[in-house]
Amino acid sequence: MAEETVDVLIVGAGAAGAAFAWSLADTRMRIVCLEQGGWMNPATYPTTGMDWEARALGDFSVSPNARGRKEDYPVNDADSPIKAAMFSAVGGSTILYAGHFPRLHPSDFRTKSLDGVGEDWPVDYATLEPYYAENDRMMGVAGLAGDPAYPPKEVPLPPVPLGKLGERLASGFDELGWHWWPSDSAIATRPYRGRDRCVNLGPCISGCSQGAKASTDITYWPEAVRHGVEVRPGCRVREILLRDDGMADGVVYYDEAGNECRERAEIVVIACNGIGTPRLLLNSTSRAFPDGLANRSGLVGKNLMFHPYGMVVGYFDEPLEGYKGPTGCSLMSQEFYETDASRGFVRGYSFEAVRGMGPVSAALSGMGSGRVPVGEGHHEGFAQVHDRSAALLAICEDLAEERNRVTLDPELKDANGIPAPKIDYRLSENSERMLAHGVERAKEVLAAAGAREFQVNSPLSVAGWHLMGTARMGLDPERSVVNEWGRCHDVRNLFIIDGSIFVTAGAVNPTSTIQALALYVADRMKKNLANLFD
Amino acid sequence: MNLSDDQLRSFAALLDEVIPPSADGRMPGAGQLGLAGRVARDLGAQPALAEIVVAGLASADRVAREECDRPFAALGATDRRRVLARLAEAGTPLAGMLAFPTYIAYYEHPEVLVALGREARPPHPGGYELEPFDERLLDGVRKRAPFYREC
Repeated sequence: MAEETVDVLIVGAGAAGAAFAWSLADTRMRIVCLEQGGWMNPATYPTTGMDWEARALGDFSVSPNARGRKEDYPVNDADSPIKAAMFSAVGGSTILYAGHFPRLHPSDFRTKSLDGVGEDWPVDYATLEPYYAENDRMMGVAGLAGDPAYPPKEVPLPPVPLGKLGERLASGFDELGWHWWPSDSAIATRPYRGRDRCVNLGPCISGCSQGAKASTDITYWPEAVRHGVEVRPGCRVREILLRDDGMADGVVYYDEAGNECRERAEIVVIACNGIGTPRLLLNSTSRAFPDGLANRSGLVGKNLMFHPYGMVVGYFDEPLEGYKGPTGCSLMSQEFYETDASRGFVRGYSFEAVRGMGPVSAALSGMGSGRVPVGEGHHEGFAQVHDRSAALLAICEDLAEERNRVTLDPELKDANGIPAPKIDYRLSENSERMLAHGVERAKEVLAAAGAREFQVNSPLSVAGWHLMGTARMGLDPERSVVNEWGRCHDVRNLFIIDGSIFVTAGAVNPTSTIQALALYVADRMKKNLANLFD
Repeated sequence: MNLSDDQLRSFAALLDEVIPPSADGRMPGAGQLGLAGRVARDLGAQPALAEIVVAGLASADRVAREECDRPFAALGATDRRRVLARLAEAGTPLAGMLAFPTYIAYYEHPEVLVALGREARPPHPGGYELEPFDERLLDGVRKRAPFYREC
């Protein structure tokens, strides 16, 4: 039988791969997406059982190293204070994300021009705005128009309720005269496009059993599949192959049974996140690219950006009903988003409010901080923390530095024997100063809201869920990996569409921008099909 | 972790020292709650720790018999704590070692949730009701001029 050549082969079925596949589906091209994970069943998510908090530390941990599912690959993050967080499934990390869905700001695309740091993007906010809006409609974003921190925008659904906890925090911001606004949240606050409404069950970060949170397995993928896109779950790509003429030829992958397979394609699109994408490129070596595919710039894997998180938990005297409502979605503040030289650092941070903990988490967290002792005094200690905590996260902008990078670990491998990624990452002095500033301001807000004491966790080690910059966009092939519409400078039928192509990180959760970029790249491809490889 | 009936009794007494009953009787001890079998089962996933715990239980029983002429499970709270303090001084802080699995098993137990005033059910499908967002809360913020940087 002749080997099939598909028109477009997408690697990775997460936030970016799903949006891209949906957009391109109307071309009626033959599109296949290979995904190492499987389709999820929300009926089995942790929040359907009494052990929901324990499972969030086990088989639904955000860390692939802690989870150890067959479809996960290990990450050597020993040399990073921030540990990698991701999920492998149809839907990717949107299965476990909080759904906090702010956009980047116009200034995030022009940090070099405005503040003399980083690089300017080859696209700007105005260019991406229609794609942000389209994505908001597809994902079903809840929020409120009129935020003075942003250019005007429409929001499809009403905001997530604040609850008692959120209103207390809002009062703290008001007391200080600081900005706050209800979060943009990828959560259906009323029935939306076949999804049920949010019932405020709490831990979105263990998967949404209700189907209200917009993970792409229930938003983009069903529509893309209906339009003819084929998703092949359980397929892990080992390398991208190269033709003699320097064009990508397809991939080698392992199917669910472990068989080595090949898939040829006219166009290959990588959507594996800021760690998985450089890993795949670095594993794809050839005579033409001995240091990894599309890596003539030497920048594949470099400029890894996280968002350093400073977390401050405030403890209050009265119950806050913090277990009600989406954990990571209530309100945010962008009072300190833009550069103010008097603060001692460039660029800035957002605050994201975090609701309270469940009983198990309150007990374990209290044990760690010494508030909930073993033995005598246990119940008195627990009563001081249970349903009496609220937290603020300072989400700090990370500046790109080449020393922060993803490479291949010389020994660690995944279940298919494919070399695993290694992260080398250090916080910059700018980040350290920003974190310190954010922690102190968070304490001020929490105190103004009535908190009696604080617990600080900064940088938050488990917070490596925003993976950016490792194959960045740019006009100069010497200083970037892909061009202004995601095409690799070195391989003209190879595209990258995930957080790897971010030039700067901004100080907000990246999924909204990742998907807007994926839609933008798909649109550019559709408009340039006749001369796509010129 | 497989335990004999005698070991299970000692283990339950030990769990009552990890989370004791509350003074007002409202909250049960972890041992009283019948968590010994569950925690022992969970420890089976950590063979090295399980081995230390089994050896520690034997030590606790030996010290209890030497000093009080009774097995550990038959001691009152004061004597149990004295025995555990001896073991901790000797390098085996048994109660502390068991805190993590005991806290998890205890605080997901239906009886404990009810005692805390929570419903004994998982979050889904019931969820929780919250009042819709009240836009009047933003009256102050809305007075502020846009402050994003145009570029």
